[in-house]
Order: sequence, then structure tokens, then C-alpha cells
Amino acid sequence: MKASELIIMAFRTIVSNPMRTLLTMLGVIIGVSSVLTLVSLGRGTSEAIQKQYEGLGTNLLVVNVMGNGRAQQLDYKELMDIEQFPEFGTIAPTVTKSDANLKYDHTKESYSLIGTNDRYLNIAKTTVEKGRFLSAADQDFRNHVVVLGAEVAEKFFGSSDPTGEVINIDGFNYTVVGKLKAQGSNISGTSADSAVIVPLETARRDFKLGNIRTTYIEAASKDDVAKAQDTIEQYLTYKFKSSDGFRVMNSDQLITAQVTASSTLTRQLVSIALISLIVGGIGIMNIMLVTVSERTREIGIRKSIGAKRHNILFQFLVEAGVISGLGGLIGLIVGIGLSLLWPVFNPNQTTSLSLDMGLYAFAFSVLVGVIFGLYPANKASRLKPIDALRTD
Amino acid sequence: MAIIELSDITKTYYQGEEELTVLKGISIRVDPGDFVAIVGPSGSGKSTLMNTIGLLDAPTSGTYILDGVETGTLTDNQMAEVRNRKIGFIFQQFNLLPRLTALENVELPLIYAGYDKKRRRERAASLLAKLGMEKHIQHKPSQLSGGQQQRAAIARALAVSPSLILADEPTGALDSRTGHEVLELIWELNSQGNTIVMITHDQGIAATARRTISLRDGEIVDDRRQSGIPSAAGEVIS
Repeated sequence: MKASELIIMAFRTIVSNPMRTLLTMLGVIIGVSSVLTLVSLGRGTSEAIQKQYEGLGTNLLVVNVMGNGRAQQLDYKELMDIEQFPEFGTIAPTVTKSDANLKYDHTKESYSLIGTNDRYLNIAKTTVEKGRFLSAADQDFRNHVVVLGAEVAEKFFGSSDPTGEVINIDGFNYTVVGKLKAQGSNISGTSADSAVIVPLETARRDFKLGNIRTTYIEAASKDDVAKAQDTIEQYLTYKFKSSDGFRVMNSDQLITAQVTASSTLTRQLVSIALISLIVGGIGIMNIMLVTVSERTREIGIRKSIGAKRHNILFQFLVEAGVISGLGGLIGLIVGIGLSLLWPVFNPNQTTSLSLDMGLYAFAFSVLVGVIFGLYPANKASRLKPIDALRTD
Repeated sequence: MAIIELSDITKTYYQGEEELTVLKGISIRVDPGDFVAIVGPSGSGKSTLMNTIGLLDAPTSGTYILDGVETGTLTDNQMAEVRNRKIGFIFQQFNLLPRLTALENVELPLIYAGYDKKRRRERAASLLAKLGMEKHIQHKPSQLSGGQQQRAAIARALAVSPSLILADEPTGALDSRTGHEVLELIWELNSQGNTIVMITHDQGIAATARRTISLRDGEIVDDRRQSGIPSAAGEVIS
């Protein structure tokens, strides 16, 4: 019998018990759709990271200082002096606080706080919508001024102009001098829309934020990136008397680091999804064993009129393959749907549909079905016709 | 050459320490075109003999030559092939596959014999038509009466033009009128040259065959040929 006829026959058999078939396929459906969705999500995240850094330009260097205490303390003035070197464009040291409590009138909300200088605006490639950004003078005089992210401004002041208003941050009063344009996400990975920006030294003093952790540096030009990276590394090694405790990364290294982190997570999630595919395979094996014992008489009849071992083996194997393949196909459709719908319900996340992975997952599901169908099919093919005919 | 040559067939079942010998040295020779009924009460070993003749079960000892094929050395797959090509089974419970139509049931042995789709469809349809089933070829067994189901089963048995038709209580599940019709059909097949071996517990039905072999306790107690050719029509109901 031709393969196509075998498949048609298997189809007819499995649709004769639709509920059971659906339940059997469920594991495979869940497995394939979650593999496809997770991979699409992972790919979307990687692409988003790439796009985000591309937007920031390729001249960017990020300095992270890990250590604590005096030995690892960067001096703001000294750091800014480095800006004098020709290979450097601008330098923006930052401190951050992830949960600053903001209060205005009767509204209270917690947002992240960034302490930095006037250069930050240029490096973060963002623009001011109302008022102004931090100035050099704000930094020098440790002014209590704040620039609000778009979402923060919206929360406290709606669409009205917030400049000149006084907002309370963790017990300290700050005058709002400006409001940023909504931009999505920024360099630190979190959105500047949901952050407030205050002068660096003011933030360090008021909120006891300690050492400068992250410094954003823009090289003078693309050709100066390597030299700038070299210079800053030399300076830090000299300053800390050690090459440990800090890390300088250019935009390529940043992208690689973030993409690697994201794809590691994706891989782990996909492994879990693959396990559910295998569990689905076990479900198929279970049902195929039930099917074989239910259809013992059919096997006896087929054998008595001339079916050979391989005829019976293939019949049940194809049936298992069709169940898992159909499940895989439904899983594929569900997965495509989920991948497309995901960003609608999670606006911060993007998905990039990876149909090739979906097809691999589909092929894998058919393979799982056939492998787990092997044992029941073999069992069926070994039945003696006389024993099989005797059962009802 | 004989179609069936059974020589000194024994069959012993072992259940733990106990042995049960159900066939005790059976030798039968059936010539082409004959119509043999094997009759006996339950426990006489007739079902075991039928399974042996049908290559569904292997004897403990003895030789069995079916249409020139020595069956003792055949593998499972070779046996399946011989069953497919040389034996047409008619069962008491019809044994049609419930999910398939009458046509597809008749096609089944042709599938295993390797016929292509067009040829087996034509062959199955013409056989069913010959047996008066042309209106029912697309019906499933559950939509057919007992007599119609047995006709479909007979069409299936004839599908590959086997050298032997093996009927196991073919009228056992039918009322007497329908049973009579089926028996007439089997007679007709025999008159067309088919060799028939029929297993039955009913002496009356056995008496309609050309030759009747009586079994008791695993041995042949009587083997007689009817004088003249009995007509199926007359003697079944008696």
C-alpha cells in the first residue's frame, strides 16, 4: 500500500474518535506552540537589543565599576578631565536608584532615578519635550532640580506642562525643569520614560548612592572608539592599581553580552518546552497501547487475510505519526497566533516569528510520535493471528 | 495433486504441568473441487483443526502440505503470504472491519496482495455485484444485515481467487432462512470449481457437503462421501 493511502487510512481512524485524538495531541500542541512562541520571543528580544544599540550609535563605551569603597571610587572631576583628550566626545557618569518614591499633591508612585550630568541627554539620544535638561550649573551647584521621563510626567501632571512644579523625592523637594519625549527604551535597558533624572552629586548626597557605577562615554568618532577604550582602561587600571573590578565595553561587546544573556534564557525555556513535547510523545505511546489492545481483533482479522508484520507495524506507526504530526501542525498555528498576539498584550516585548524553528519543532514532533509509536506498533505486529482472533 | 494433505497431525497444549492433546494424529487429503464438511461436537478438536488448515496455528507434529507448499518450515511472514494467496476465510462472526465500507473490506486482502488501487477497486466491486451486493458497496458493516455481512465476507474470501475456501460455522450467526441462502451460495462457489472446507457442529448442515468428516476427541471417527450429489436446497432445513 502506498504511503498516501496509509496516511489517509490513519486519518480516518483517528477522526473516528475526535475527543481522544485531541487529548492525545494536546501535549504535542502545547510543546510545539510554546517552542515556536519562545523562540520568536527570544529572537524579537535580540533584535530589539540590537536595534536599541544601533540607535545609540557605535561610538558608545560603557564603563562599569563593580567594587565598593574608597579603592574603587571614581572622582567626578577627574573623570570629566578625561574629556579633554581628543579621542573623547562626551562623558556621562551615572548613579541609579531603582525605587525612588515620588510624591506630588496626593499622588504617590515609585520610579527609578538616574543621577547624572548634562551630557547624558546627548549620549542617551533622547530629546526634551518641555523645559530644559540638566545644565552644567545644576551639577556644579548641586541644584535640586529634576527632569521627568514621559511616563512619570503623564502620571503626575497629565498632559499639562510640569516645569516649575515642585515634586518630592524620598523626602527631598525637587523643582521640575523639564520633561523628556517618550522614547521606548534606553541604554540601561530600562525605559527612560519611567525614570527621573537629577544632577549626579545631588543624587549621591540625598540618596546616599555611593560610588559612580556606570559611566557612558561617547568617543569623538568611530575611529577613536578603540583608542578611547584603551585610554580609559589604562586610566582605571592606574587609578585602581588593578585591572579587576571594572569593565569597559564598546557597543559591539554590549550587544553580544546582552544577546548572549537573552539567548541563554531562551535556550533554557525552549528546553522546558521540548520536555513537554517528549511528555506529549509518552501520551501518544500510552494511547497507542490502548488502541492496540482495543483493536486486537482487527489485527487478527488483518493478519488472517494476509497482513504481514510490517503491514501492521507501519499501520500503527503511521497512525502515531499522523497524530503527532497533526498535533504539531495545530501547535504551529497556535504558536504563530501566540507570537503575533504576544506584543499586543505585552507592549514592552517584541516577537520575531521564526518559522524555521517552527518547522523544526513540527518535524521533531512527528519524530517523537514515530519513536513513541514504535513500541506499541511493534507489539501489535507481533500478535499471533490465532490469539488476536480469539479476543472480542 | 491434492489441495490439502494433512499427515498424522497432532496438537498438544501445555498448561503448566498438564498437557492436553486435542488432535491425535489426523490425516486428511482433500482434492481440488471437493466440498468437505468437518463436523463434531464442541471439544472434538474441529476448531483447532480449522486453525491448522487455515495456517493460523502450527501443529505440534505432523506435516501439512497446502496446494503444494510444505507449511512446516514457513516463517510468520511467509505464512501470512500463503494465507493471503491460497486461503479465503469465511468466519462465523463475519469478521468485517467495522470502520471500513463493504467495498473496502473486500479490498483488504487485495491490498496485502499488492494490487494497485484501481484494480482492487474494480475487482472488489465486481465480486460484490456478483453476490447481489451492488447497492451496499458503500455501506459499513453496522448498516448491513447479517446475511449481507456474510455475503461481503464471502466476497472478501474470494477476492484473491484462493485455492481453498475455509468456512468456520458460516451459518452459525444467521437465522435459518439466511443461513440457507448463504449455504446455497457456498454450493454455488463449489459448483464453479472452488474447493471448500467447512467446519460445523450441525450434522444437518454437514450432510449437505459432498464429503463429511466426523471428529470426536481429536480423532476422525467417520469419513463418508454422500451418495450422489445432495442438493443444498433440500436438506439443510431437515
